[in-house]
Amino acid sequence: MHCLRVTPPLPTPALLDAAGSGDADARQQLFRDWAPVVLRWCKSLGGPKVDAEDAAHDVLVTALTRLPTLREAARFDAWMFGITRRVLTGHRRTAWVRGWIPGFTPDVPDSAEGPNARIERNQTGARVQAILERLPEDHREILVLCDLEERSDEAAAALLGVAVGTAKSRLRRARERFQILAERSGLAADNAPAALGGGR
Amino acid sequence: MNNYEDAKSAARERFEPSELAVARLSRRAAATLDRPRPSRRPMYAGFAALSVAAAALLFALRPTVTVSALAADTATTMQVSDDVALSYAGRGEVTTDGAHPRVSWELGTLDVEVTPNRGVDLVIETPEATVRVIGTGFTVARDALGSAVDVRHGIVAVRCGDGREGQLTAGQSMTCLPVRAAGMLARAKALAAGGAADADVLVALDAGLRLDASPPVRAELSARRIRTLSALGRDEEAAAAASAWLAGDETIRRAEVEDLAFAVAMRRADCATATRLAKTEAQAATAAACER
Repeated sequence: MHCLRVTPPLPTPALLDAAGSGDADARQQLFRDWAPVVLRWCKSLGGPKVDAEDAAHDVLVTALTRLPTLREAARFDAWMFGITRRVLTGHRRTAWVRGWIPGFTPDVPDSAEGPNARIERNQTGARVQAILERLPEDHREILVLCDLEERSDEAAAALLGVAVGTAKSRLRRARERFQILAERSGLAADNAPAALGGGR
Repeated sequence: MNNYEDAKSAARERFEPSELAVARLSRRAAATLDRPRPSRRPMYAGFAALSVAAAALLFALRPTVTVSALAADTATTMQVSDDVALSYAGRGEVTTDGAHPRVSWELGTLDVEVTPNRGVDLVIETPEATVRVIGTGFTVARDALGSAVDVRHGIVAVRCGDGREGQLTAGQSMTCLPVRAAGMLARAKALAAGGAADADVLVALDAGLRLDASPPVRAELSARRIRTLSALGRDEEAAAAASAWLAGDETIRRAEVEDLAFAVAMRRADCATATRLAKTEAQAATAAACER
Protein backbone atom coordinates (compact mmCIF):
# COMPACT_ATOMS: atom_id res chain seq x y z
CA MET A 1 0.00 0.00 0.00
CA HIS A 2 1.50 3.32 -0.99
CA CYS A 3 -0.38 6.16 0.54
CA LEU A 4 0.33 8.95 3.01
CA ARG A 5 -2.26 7.69 5.44
CA VAL A 6 -1.21 9.82 8.39
CA THR A 7 0.31 12.92 6.84
CA PRO A 8 -1.63 16.15 6.45
CA PRO A 9 -1.46 18.13 3.23
CA LEU A 10 1.61 20.31 2.82
CA PRO A 11 1.05 23.89 3.94
CA THR A 12 0.77 26.50 1.24
CA PRO A 13 3.55 29.10 0.84
CA ALA A 14 1.03 31.76 1.92
CA LEU A 15 0.27 29.89 5.15
CA LEU A 16 3.97 29.46 5.87
CA ASP A 17 4.64 33.13 5.21
CA ALA A 18 1.82 34.13 7.53
CA ALA A 19 2.93 31.73 10.27
CA GLY A 20 6.52 32.93 9.92
CA SER A 21 5.33 36.51 10.30
CA GLY A 22 3.66 35.68 13.59
CA ASP A 23 0.06 35.35 12.40
CA ALA A 24 -1.65 33.49 15.25
CA ASP A 25 -4.31 31.84 13.07
CA ALA A 26 -1.74 30.56 10.59
CA ARG A 27 0.37 29.25 13.43
CA GLN A 28 -2.63 27.47 14.92
CA GLN A 29 -3.40 25.92 11.53
CA LEU A 30 0.16 24.62 11.29
CA PHE A 31 -0.02 23.26 14.83
CA ARG A 32 -3.39 21.63 14.15
CA ASP A 33 -1.99 19.83 11.11
CA TRP A 34 1.55 19.09 12.20
CA ALA A 35 1.62 18.81 16.01
CA PRO A 36 0.10 15.28 15.83
CA VAL A 37 2.63 14.23 13.18
CA VAL A 38 5.61 15.61 15.09
CA LEU A 39 4.42 14.12 18.37
CA ARG A 40 3.93 10.74 16.67
CA TRP A 41 7.46 10.90 15.25
CA CYS A 42 8.89 11.79 18.65
CA LYS A 43 7.02 8.93 20.32
CA SER A 44 8.01 6.34 17.75
CA LEU A 45 11.58 7.50 17.07
CA GLY A 46 12.65 9.09 20.35
CA GLY A 47 13.64 6.00 22.26
CA PRO A 48 13.07 5.08 25.88
CA LYS A 49 14.78 8.02 27.57
CA VAL A 50 13.24 10.86 25.60
CA ASP A 51 10.14 12.69 26.78
CA ALA A 52 8.24 12.79 23.49
CA GLU A 53 6.14 15.81 24.37
CA ASP A 54 9.17 17.86 25.45
CA ALA A 55 10.94 16.96 22.22
CA ALA A 56 7.87 17.73 20.09
CA HIS A 57 7.59 21.10 21.79
CA ASP A 58 11.19 21.91 20.86
CA VAL A 59 10.60 20.76 17.27
CA LEU A 60 7.57 23.02 16.85
CA VAL A 61 9.28 26.02 18.45
CA THR A 62 12.42 25.51 16.34
CA ALA A 63 10.39 25.10 13.16
CA LEU A 64 8.28 28.20 13.74
CA THR A 65 11.35 30.24 14.66
CA ARG A 66 13.22 29.12 11.56
CA LEU A 67 10.37 29.21 9.07
CA PRO A 68 11.97 32.10 7.15
CA THR A 69 14.91 29.80 6.34
CA LEU A 70 12.70 27.21 4.63
CA ARG A 71 13.47 27.46 0.92
CA GLU A 72 10.87 25.16 -0.64
CA ALA A 73 7.38 24.89 0.78
CA ALA A 74 7.02 21.65 -1.18
CA ARG A 75 9.67 20.09 1.03
CA PHE A 76 8.11 21.22 4.31
CA ASP A 77 7.61 17.64 5.51
CA ALA A 78 11.25 16.70 4.90
CA TRP A 79 12.35 19.91 6.59
CA MET A 80 10.18 19.12 9.64
CA PHE A 81 11.49 15.58 9.74
CA GLY A 82 15.08 16.90 9.65
CA ILE A 83 14.38 19.20 12.59
CA THR A 84 12.74 16.33 14.47
CA ARG A 85 15.81 14.15 13.96
CA ARG A 86 18.18 16.85 15.20
CA VAL A 87 16.02 17.67 18.22
CA LEU A 88 15.70 14.00 19.15
CA THR A 89 19.47 13.59 18.90
CA GLY A 90 19.88 16.51 21.30
CA HIS A 91 17.31 15.13 23.72
CA ARG A 92 18.96 11.71 23.72
CA ARG A 93 22.28 13.35 24.47
CA THR A 94 20.76 15.39 27.30
CA ALA A 95 19.13 12.28 28.74
CA TRP A 96 22.48 10.47 28.62
CA VAL A 97 24.27 13.36 30.38
CA ARG A 98 21.60 13.60 33.04
CA GLY A 99 22.00 9.91 33.73
CA TRP A 100 25.50 10.67 35.01
CA ILE A 101 24.46 13.47 37.41
CA PRO A 102 24.50 11.99 40.93
CA GLY A 103 21.13 12.08 42.62
CA PHE A 104 19.28 13.26 39.55
CA THR A 105 16.02 11.48 38.90
CA PRO A 106 15.56 10.93 35.20
CA ASP A 107 12.29 11.98 33.62
CA VAL A 108 9.63 9.35 33.35
CA PRO A 109 9.69 8.57 29.62
CA ASP A 110 5.94 8.14 29.38
CA SER A 111 5.04 11.37 31.14
CA ALA A 112 3.82 12.83 27.86
CA GLU A 113 1.33 10.04 27.35
CA GLY A 114 -2.10 9.72 28.81
CA PRO A 115 -2.88 7.31 31.60
CA ASN A 116 -4.20 4.81 29.09
CA ALA A 117 -0.76 4.32 27.63
CA ARG A 118 0.83 3.93 31.05
CA ILE A 119 -1.61 1.25 32.00
CA GLU A 120 -0.15 -0.88 29.20
CA ARG A 121 -3.45 -2.09 27.92
CA ASN A 122 -1.83 -3.10 24.71
CA GLN A 123 0.99 -5.49 25.35
CA THR A 124 1.66 -6.01 21.66
CA GLY A 125 2.19 -2.30 21.13
CA ALA A 126 4.60 -2.16 24.05
CA ARG A 127 6.59 -5.09 22.68
CA VAL A 128 6.75 -3.62 19.19
CA GLN A 129 7.98 -0.36 20.69
CA ALA A 130 10.62 -2.21 22.71
CA ILE A 131 11.87 -3.94 19.56
CA LEU A 132 11.93 -0.70 17.59
CA GLU A 133 13.99 0.90 20.36
CA ARG A 134 16.59 -1.84 20.02
CA LEU A 135 17.06 -1.18 16.32
CA PRO A 136 19.66 1.26 14.96
CA GLU A 137 18.23 4.72 14.37
CA ASP A 138 18.22 4.48 10.57
CA HIS A 139 16.37 1.17 10.67
CA ARG A 140 13.83 2.52 13.15
CA GLU A 141 13.21 5.54 10.94
CA ILE A 142 12.62 3.59 7.76
CA LEU A 143 10.28 1.11 9.50
CA VAL A 144 8.24 3.90 11.06
CA LEU A 145 7.98 5.86 7.81
CA CYS A 146 7.28 2.95 5.47
CA ASP A 147 5.50 0.34 7.56
CA LEU A 148 3.72 2.28 10.30
CA GLU A 149 2.99 5.47 8.35
CA GLU A 150 2.63 3.61 5.04
CA ARG A 151 4.70 5.98 2.96
CA SER A 152 6.03 4.87 -0.39
CA ASP A 153 9.73 4.13 -0.69
CA GLU A 154 10.08 7.32 -2.71
CA ALA A 155 8.36 9.47 -0.09
CA ALA A 156 10.42 7.97 2.73
CA ALA A 157 13.62 8.49 0.74
CA ALA A 158 12.70 12.14 0.24
CA LEU A 159 12.12 12.63 3.96
CA LEU A 160 15.36 10.91 4.88
CA GLY A 161 17.35 12.66 2.17
CA VAL A 162 18.67 9.44 0.66
CA ALA A 163 18.37 7.75 -2.74
CA VAL A 164 15.33 5.56 -3.33
CA GLY A 165 17.57 2.52 -3.77
CA THR A 166 19.19 3.24 -0.41
CA ALA A 167 15.79 3.52 1.24
CA LYS A 168 14.67 0.21 -0.27
CA SER A 169 17.74 -1.71 0.81
CA ARG A 170 17.65 -0.08 4.25
CA LEU A 171 14.00 -1.08 4.60
CA ARG A 172 14.79 -4.65 3.63
CA ARG A 173 17.58 -4.89 6.20
CA ALA A 174 15.46 -3.19 8.86
CA ARG A 175 12.64 -5.68 8.29
CA GLU A 176 15.04 -8.61 8.52
CA ARG A 177 16.46 -7.28 11.75
CA PHE A 178 13.02 -6.57 13.17
CA GLN A 179 11.99 -10.09 12.26
CA ILE A 180 14.93 -11.58 14.13
CA LEU A 181 14.22 -9.53 17.25
CA ALA A 182 10.49 -10.19 16.99
CA GLU A 183 11.06 -13.93 16.83
CA ARG A 184 13.41 -13.79 19.79
CA SER A 185 10.77 -11.96 21.80
CA GLY A 186 8.07 -14.41 20.69
CA LEU A 187 6.13 -11.70 18.92
CA ALA A 188 6.22 -13.20 15.47
CA ALA A 189 7.24 -16.78 15.97
CA ASP A 190 4.48 -18.32 13.90
CA ASN A 191 4.46 -16.03 10.90
CA ALA A 192 6.53 -15.78 7.79
CA PRO A 193 7.08 -12.36 6.24
CA ALA A 194 9.79 -10.16 7.38
CA ALA A 195 8.52 -7.25 9.37
CA LEU A 196 5.83 -4.90 10.47
CA GLY A 197 4.76 -4.27 6.93
CA GLY A 198 5.58 -7.66 5.60
CA GLY A 199 4.11 -8.00 2.24
CA ARG A 200 4.82 -4.92 0.18
CA MET B 1 -5.51 -11.08 10.63
CA ASN B 2 -1.87 -12.08 10.95
CA ASN B 3 0.60 -11.13 13.66
CA TYR B 4 2.25 -8.46 11.56
CA GLU B 5 -1.00 -6.68 10.93
CA ASP B 6 -1.73 -6.95 14.65
CA ALA B 7 1.71 -5.57 15.45
CA LYS B 8 1.33 -2.68 13.01
CA SER B 9 -2.07 -1.86 14.35
CA ALA B 10 -0.92 -2.06 17.97
CA ALA B 11 2.14 0.09 17.27
CA ARG B 12 0.07 2.71 15.46
CA GLU B 13 -2.35 2.83 18.35
CA ARG B 14 0.51 3.15 20.80
CA PHE B 15 2.22 5.98 18.94
CA GLU B 16 -0.97 7.85 18.06
CA PRO B 17 -1.03 10.95 20.26
CA SER B 18 -4.21 11.71 22.18
CA GLU B 19 -6.20 14.85 21.39
CA LEU B 20 -5.36 16.03 24.87
CA ALA B 21 -1.62 15.65 24.34
CA VAL B 22 -1.79 17.46 21.00
CA ALA B 23 -3.82 20.31 22.48
CA ARG B 24 -1.42 20.58 25.42
CA LEU B 25 1.59 20.55 23.10
CA SER B 26 0.14 23.24 20.82
CA ARG B 27 -0.68 25.49 23.75
CA ARG B 28 2.76 25.03 25.25
CA ALA B 29 4.58 25.72 21.97
CA ALA B 30 2.44 28.79 21.33
CA ALA B 31 3.19 30.09 24.83
CA THR B 32 6.93 29.60 24.27
CA LEU B 33 6.80 31.41 20.94
CA ASP B 34 4.82 34.29 22.44
CA ARG B 35 7.35 34.79 25.22
CA PRO B 36 9.62 37.76 24.40
CA ARG B 37 13.12 36.69 23.41
CA PRO B 38 16.25 38.68 24.31
CA SER B 39 18.14 40.41 21.50
CA ARG B 40 21.23 38.70 20.15
CA ARG B 41 23.76 41.51 20.03
CA PRO B 42 27.30 40.18 19.78
CA MET B 43 28.51 42.15 22.79
CA TYR B 44 26.29 39.99 24.93
CA ALA B 45 27.49 36.72 23.42
CA GLY B 46 29.76 35.85 26.33
CA PHE B 47 27.09 36.70 28.84
CA ALA B 48 24.58 34.67 26.87
CA ALA B 49 26.90 31.67 26.83
CA LEU B 50 27.27 31.87 30.59
CA SER B 51 23.53 32.21 30.97
CA VAL B 52 22.94 29.18 28.80
CA ALA B 53 25.40 27.15 30.85
CA ALA B 54 23.76 28.28 34.09
CA ALA B 55 20.29 27.59 32.71
CA ALA B 56 21.38 24.13 31.57
CA LEU B 57 22.68 23.40 35.06
CA LEU B 58 19.50 24.67 36.67
CA PHE B 59 17.42 22.70 34.17
CA ALA B 60 19.33 19.54 34.94
CA LEU B 61 18.93 20.06 38.67
CA ARG B 62 15.35 21.35 38.60
CA PRO B 63 12.85 19.82 41.02
CA THR B 64 11.21 16.69 39.72
CA VAL B 65 7.70 17.26 38.49
CA THR B 66 5.27 14.64 39.72
CA VAL B 67 2.80 13.16 37.26
CA SER B 68 0.08 10.96 38.71
CA ALA B 69 -2.49 9.03 36.73
CA LEU B 70 -6.12 9.34 37.71
CA ALA B 71 -8.13 6.32 36.65
CA ALA B 72 -11.11 4.92 38.51
CA ASP B 73 -14.50 3.51 37.63
CA THR B 74 -16.02 4.52 40.94
CA ALA B 75 -15.66 7.76 42.89
CA THR B 76 -12.15 8.03 44.29
CA THR B 77 -10.59 10.81 46.33
CA MET B 78 -7.09 12.21 46.01
CA GLN B 79 -5.53 14.91 48.16
CA VAL B 80 -3.16 16.73 45.77
CA SER B 81 -1.92 19.11 48.49
CA ASP B 82 -3.16 20.56 51.77
CA ASP B 83 -5.38 22.94 49.82
CA VAL B 84 -6.49 20.87 46.81
CA ALA B 85 -8.67 17.77 46.91
CA LEU B 86 -9.94 15.86 43.89
CA SER B 87 -12.77 13.36 43.75
CA TYR B 88 -13.12 11.59 40.44
CA ALA B 89 -14.65 8.77 38.46
CA GLY B 90 -13.02 8.57 35.04
CA ARG B 91 -9.52 9.18 33.79
CA GLY B 92 -6.94 11.93 33.48
CA GLU B 93 -3.68 12.94 35.08
CA VAL B 94 -2.46 15.50 37.57
CA THR B 95 0.92 17.21 37.24
CA THR B 96 2.34 19.24 40.09
CA ASP B 97 5.61 20.84 41.07
CA GLY B 98 4.13 21.75 44.43
CA ALA B 99 2.62 25.17 43.80
CA HIS B 100 0.84 24.92 40.45
CA PRO B 101 -1.19 21.74 40.03
CA ARG B 102 -2.40 21.03 36.51
CA VAL B 103 -5.09 18.45 35.86
CA SER B 104 -5.61 17.07 32.34
CA TRP B 105 -9.02 15.48 32.33
CA GLU B 106 -9.95 13.05 29.55
CA LEU B 107 -13.25 11.44 30.43
CA GLY B 108 -15.72 11.23 33.31
CA THR B 109 -16.51 13.41 36.29
CA LEU B 110 -13.94 15.35 38.29
CA ASP B 111 -14.93 17.13 41.48
CA VAL B 112 -12.56 19.76 42.82
CA GLU B 113 -12.26 21.48 46.21
CA VAL B 114 -9.73 24.26 46.65
CA THR B 115 -9.24 26.11 49.93
CA PRO B 116 -9.93 29.80 49.24
CA ASN B 117 -7.37 32.56 49.79
CA ARG B 118 -4.36 30.25 49.99
CA GLY B 119 -2.74 31.33 46.71
CA VAL B 120 -3.38 28.03 44.97
CA ASP B 121 -3.16 28.33 41.17
CA LEU B 122 -4.98 25.30 39.83
CA VAL B 123 -5.81 24.71 36.16
CA ILE B 124 -8.05 21.97 34.79
CA GLU B 125 -7.73 21.24 31.07
CA THR B 126 -9.96 19.15 28.84
CA PRO B 127 -9.73 19.05 25.04
CA GLU B 128 -12.52 21.63 24.91
CA ALA B 129 -11.99 23.76 27.99
CA THR B 130 -9.49 25.39 30.32
CA VAL B 131 -10.74 26.16 33.82
CA ARG B 132 -8.64 28.32 36.17
CA VAL B 133 -9.33 28.32 39.87
CA ILE B 134 -8.35 30.50 42.78
CA GLY B 135 -10.47 29.08 45.58
CA THR B 136 -13.72 27.26 45.00
CA GLY B 137 -15.60 24.02 44.64
CA PHE B 138 -16.78 22.83 41.26
CA THR B 139 -17.22 19.84 38.97
CA VAL B 140 -15.88 19.19 35.46
CA ALA B 141 -17.69 16.42 33.61
CA ARG B 142 -16.44 15.34 30.21
CA ASP B 143 -18.38 13.02 27.95
CA ALA B 144 -19.38 12.83 24.32
CA LEU B 145 -21.51 15.93 24.69
CA GLY B 146 -18.51 18.10 25.63
CA SER B 147 -17.05 19.42 28.88
CA ALA B 148 -19.52 20.75 31.44
CA VAL B 149 -18.42 22.90 34.38
CA ASP B 150 -20.73 23.30 37.40
CA VAL B 151 -19.73 25.66 40.21
CA ARG B 152 -20.85 25.03 43.79
CA HIS B 153 -19.16 27.99 45.45
CA GLY B 154 -16.53 30.57 44.59
CA ILE B 155 -15.65 31.76 41.09
CA VAL B 156 -13.97 29.99 38.18
CA ALA B 157 -12.86 31.30 34.80
CA VAL B 158 -13.70 29.04 31.86
CA ARG B 159 -12.29 29.29 28.36
CA CYS B 160 -13.70 27.00 25.68
CA GLY B 161 -11.75 25.76 22.68
CA ASP B 162 -14.23 27.50 20.37
CA GLY B 163 -13.34 30.90 21.87
CA ARG B 164 -16.23 31.32 24.30
CA GLU B 165 -15.19 32.28 27.79
CA GLY B 166 -16.77 33.47 30.98
CA GLN B 167 -16.66 33.62 34.75
CA LEU B 168 -19.00 31.33 36.61
CA THR B 169 -20.23 31.92 40.13
CA ALA B 170 -22.02 29.60 42.53
CA GLY B 171 -24.89 27.72 40.92
CA GLN B 172 -23.84 28.55 37.36
CA SER B 173 -22.73 26.07 34.72
CA MET B 174 -21.27 26.15 31.25
CA THR B 175 -20.68 23.48 28.60
CA CYS B 176 -17.78 23.69 26.16
CA LEU B 177 -18.68 21.92 22.93
CA PRO B 178 -16.32 19.60 21.06
CA VAL B 179 -13.87 21.44 18.83
CA ARG B 180 -13.35 18.70 16.26
CA ALA B 181 -15.74 17.29 13.70
CA ALA B 182 -15.39 13.79 15.13
CA GLY B 183 -16.24 15.20 18.56
CA MET B 184 -19.34 16.89 17.17
CA LEU B 185 -20.35 13.61 15.55
CA ALA B 186 -19.99 11.91 18.95
CA ARG B 187 -22.07 14.69 20.50
CA ALA B 188 -24.80 14.24 17.89
CA LYS B 189 -24.84 10.48 18.51
CA ALA B 190 -24.99 11.02 22.28
CA LEU B 191 -27.82 13.52 21.90
CA ALA B 192 -29.78 11.12 19.70
CA ALA B 193 -29.15 8.20 22.05
CA GLY B 194 -30.24 10.35 24.98
CA GLY B 195 -33.55 11.16 23.35
CA ALA B 196 -32.77 14.80 22.54
CA ALA B 197 -34.95 16.63 20.06
CA ASP B 198 -34.05 16.06 16.41
CA ALA B 199 -33.58 19.81 16.03
CA ASP B 200 -30.81 19.73 18.67
CA VAL B 201 -29.16 16.78 16.97
CA LEU B 202 -29.29 18.69 13.69
CA VAL B 203 -27.52 21.68 15.29
CA ALA B 204 -24.65 19.41 16.37
CA LEU B 205 -24.43 17.78 12.94
CA ASP B 206 -24.38 21.14 11.16
CA ALA B 207 -21.71 22.39 13.58
CA GLY B 208 -19.61 19.30 12.83
CA LEU B 209 -19.92 19.84 9.09
CA ARG B 210 -18.63 23.39 9.49
CA LEU B 211 -15.36 22.02 10.98
CA ASP B 212 -12.49 20.35 9.16
CA ALA B 213 -13.40 16.68 8.93
CA SER B 214 -11.82 13.59 7.46
CA PRO B 215 -13.85 12.03 4.61
CA PRO B 216 -15.33 9.20 6.73
CA VAL B 217 -16.41 11.61 9.48
CA ARG B 218 -17.88 14.03 6.93
CA ALA B 219 -19.77 11.15 5.28
CA GLU B 220 -21.16 10.01 8.61
CA LEU B 221 -22.17 13.54 9.61
CA SER B 222 -23.85 14.09 6.24
CA ALA B 223 -25.70 10.77 6.29
CA ARG B 224 -27.00 11.44 9.80
CA ARG B 225 -28.00 14.95 8.77
CA ILE B 226 -30.10 13.55 5.92
CA ARG B 227 -31.77 11.11 8.28
CA THR B 228 -32.44 13.85 10.84
CA LEU B 229 -33.85 16.23 8.23
CA SER B 230 -36.12 13.42 7.07
CA ALA B 231 -37.24 12.77 10.67
CA LEU B 232 -38.03 16.47 11.05
CA GLY B 233 -40.23 16.31 7.95
CA ARG B 234 -37.94 18.68 6.06
CA ASP B 235 -38.15 16.51 2.97
CA GLU B 236 -37.09 19.15 0.45
CA GLU B 237 -33.81 19.71 2.28
CA ALA B 238 -33.37 15.99 2.92
CA ALA B 239 -33.85 15.22 -0.77
CA ALA B 240 -31.39 17.91 -1.85
CA ALA B 241 -28.80 16.76 0.72
CA ALA B 242 -29.25 13.11 -0.27
CA SER B 243 -28.91 13.96 -3.95
CA ALA B 244 -25.68 15.86 -3.28
CA TRP B 245 -24.37 13.03 -1.10
CA LEU B 246 -25.13 10.34 -3.67
CA ALA B 247 -23.42 12.40 -6.38
CA GLY B 248 -20.15 11.91 -4.48
CA ASP B 249 -18.11 8.71 -4.41
CA GLU B 250 -18.37 8.02 -0.68
CA THR B 251 -19.16 4.36 -0.03
CA ILE B 252 -19.68 4.42 3.74
CA ARG B 253 -23.43 4.45 4.49
CA ARG B 254 -24.31 4.64 0.79
CA ALA B 255 -26.98 1.94 1.02
CA GLU B 256 -28.59 3.70 3.96
CA VAL B 257 -28.60 7.05 2.18
CA GLU B 258 -30.07 5.44 -0.92
CA ASP B 259 -32.89 3.96 1.17
CA LEU B 260 -33.49 7.31 2.84
CA ALA B 261 -33.51 9.11 -0.50
CA PHE B 262 -36.01 6.56 -1.84
CA ALA B 263 -38.31 7.01 1.16
CA VAL B 264 -38.12 10.79 0.91
CA ALA B 265 -38.81 10.67 -2.83
CA MET B 266 -41.89 8.53 -2.22
CA ARG B 267 -43.16 10.89 0.48
CA ARG B 268 -42.74 13.79 -1.92
CA ALA B 269 -44.48 11.77 -4.66
CA ASP B 270 -41.35 12.24 -6.77
CA CYS B 271 -42.01 9.00 -8.62
CA ALA B 272 -39.29 9.45 -11.26
CA THR B 273 -36.58 9.85 -8.60
CA ALA B 274 -38.01 6.94 -6.62
CA THR B 275 -37.88 4.74 -9.71
CA ARG B 276 -34.28 5.73 -10.34
CA LEU B 277 -33.31 5.04 -6.73
CA ALA B 278 -35.19 1.73 -6.35
CA LYS B 279 -32.71 -1.05 -5.54
CA THR B 280 -34.96 -3.87 -4.38
CA GLU B 281 -37.93 -5.54 -5.98
CA ALA B 282 -40.21 -4.15 -3.30
CA GLN B 283 -38.92 -0.63 -3.92
CA ALA B 284 -39.28 -1.08 -7.68
CA ALA B 285 -42.87 -2.25 -7.23
CA THR B 286 -43.66 0.70 -4.95
CA ALA B 287 -42.09 3.13 -7.43
CA ALA B 288 -43.98 1.54 -10.34
CA ALA B 289 -47.26 1.88 -8.45
CA CYS B 290 -46.38 5.52 -7.84
CA GLU B 291 -45.72 6.07 -11.55
CA ARG B 292 -49.16 4.59 -12.38
